Amino acid sequence: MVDVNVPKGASVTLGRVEGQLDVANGAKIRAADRNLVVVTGEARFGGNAKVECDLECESLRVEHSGKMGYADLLVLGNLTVHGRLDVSNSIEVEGAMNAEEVDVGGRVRARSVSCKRMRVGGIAEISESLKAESVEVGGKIEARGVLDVKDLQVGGKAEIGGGAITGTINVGGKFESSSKLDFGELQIYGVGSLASGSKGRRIIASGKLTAKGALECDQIEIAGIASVSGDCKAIRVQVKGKLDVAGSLITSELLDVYGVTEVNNAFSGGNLRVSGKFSAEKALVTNDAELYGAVETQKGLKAKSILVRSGTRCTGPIIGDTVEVGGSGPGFSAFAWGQRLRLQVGTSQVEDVYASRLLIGAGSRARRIFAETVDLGSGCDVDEVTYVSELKMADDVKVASPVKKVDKLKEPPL
Amino acid sequence: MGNVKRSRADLYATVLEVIRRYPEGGRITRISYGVGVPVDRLKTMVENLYSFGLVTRATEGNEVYYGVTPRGLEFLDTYRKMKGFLATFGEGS
Repeated sequence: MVDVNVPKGASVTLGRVEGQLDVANGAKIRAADRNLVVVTGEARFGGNAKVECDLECESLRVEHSGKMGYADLLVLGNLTVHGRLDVSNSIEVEGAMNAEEVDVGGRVRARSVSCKRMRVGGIAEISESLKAESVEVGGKIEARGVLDVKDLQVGGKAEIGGGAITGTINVGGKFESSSKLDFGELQIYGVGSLASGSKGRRIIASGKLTAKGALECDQIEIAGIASVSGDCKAIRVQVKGKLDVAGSLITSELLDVYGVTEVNNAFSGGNLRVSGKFSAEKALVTNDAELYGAVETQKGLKAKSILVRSGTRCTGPIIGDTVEVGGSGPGFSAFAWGQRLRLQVGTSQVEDVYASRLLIGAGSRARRIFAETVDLGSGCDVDEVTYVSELKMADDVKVASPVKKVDKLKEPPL
Repeated sequence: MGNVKRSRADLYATVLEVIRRYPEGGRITRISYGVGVPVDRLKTMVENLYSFGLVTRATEGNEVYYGVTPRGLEFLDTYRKMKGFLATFGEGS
């Protein structure tokens, strides 16, 4: 039942409407008092209309006028819908838009939005705050203010400010946050950019991700290219593509490199596994380091146990309790995106090695060795050997300078 | 969405993205507003997607509702991954 009917093209002044309001195409509505029109039932707009005040209603429905390029409904004040807001094409609210559920087929533009669920087929533009449990946008969302959202799903592009998105962010194309963001899981397929100081639970990036400053995230999985221009702190990091960190990288559990990881300052972590290329100023590993491929440090790599697999080239000193050089390399399953397939020649090359127990496998090459016990396999080529208690050496091992037995080894660089 | 001319694959992906927002089935007008393409042009595209097995079509009274098939979701996933690779290579986003 329609309780108030506004005819086509009419300008009316309304106060409180008990029941349903039906507004025809091209109408204008003004408030009788307090700059507010209240509709206790549904407000239905049959085409484009302008509300020159605040509007409050139980539910709102707007049909498309057929006029492209214009918002079907323009509200100059605030819009409060206690139930569902259903707009077939577009709506523009100059003030705050509050609703239980927002469903817009085409485009929504508002100063701020607060709702439980927002579903927009095309474009959502929110200039200030956005508060919602779930936001789904088919095309693009631009919300440069503060966000308090649980889940955000965008098919195309998301340009947001900062705040919190505690659940999942899933963006098909481009994602950009211009201020510090606290997030749950961030899934990026295209190009992504996070502001400095952002924190999250998980990042899965298969395109290109840039963190413009420090980044803290429990789990990071990089399948494309990622760069962090500050420090990066995580529990686990897996790199199948390329990761560049301009500051330091801290992974409390594991850094797993199948592709390339370059850390400008120090890396420190629980465990390090390299099956590609890794470089850092220095690497401090609490437990185990398993190295295959190319590993480069300026000041050294220190771990409790270090395994340098066959075919690995290690630049910079390595320091460990137990060090094994020349263990067999990983199988084919470890080859991944970003890593060159090459023929194994079986030899490993290391520079200075400091260890309690050192085993150098057959055919490997080392520069200087400082260890309590040393075991050199057949065909090894070493410049200098200094040991404390035990030395085992195959007959065909080449040592360039006389072997030294000492009571105490010199201090390692790390 | 934007000034760059969308390729056919981009358009198909956008159409599927919009349709997947309607698990209960999307009407052609709603999809048209979301994609930003007139209904007549969109109808041809959706029919193509239907013939490729990427969308479903259900009729209720006079209305036709479209949904995304598992194959459509697979296409979207592959499209996104490919876009990710292209972004990595510095070719578009």
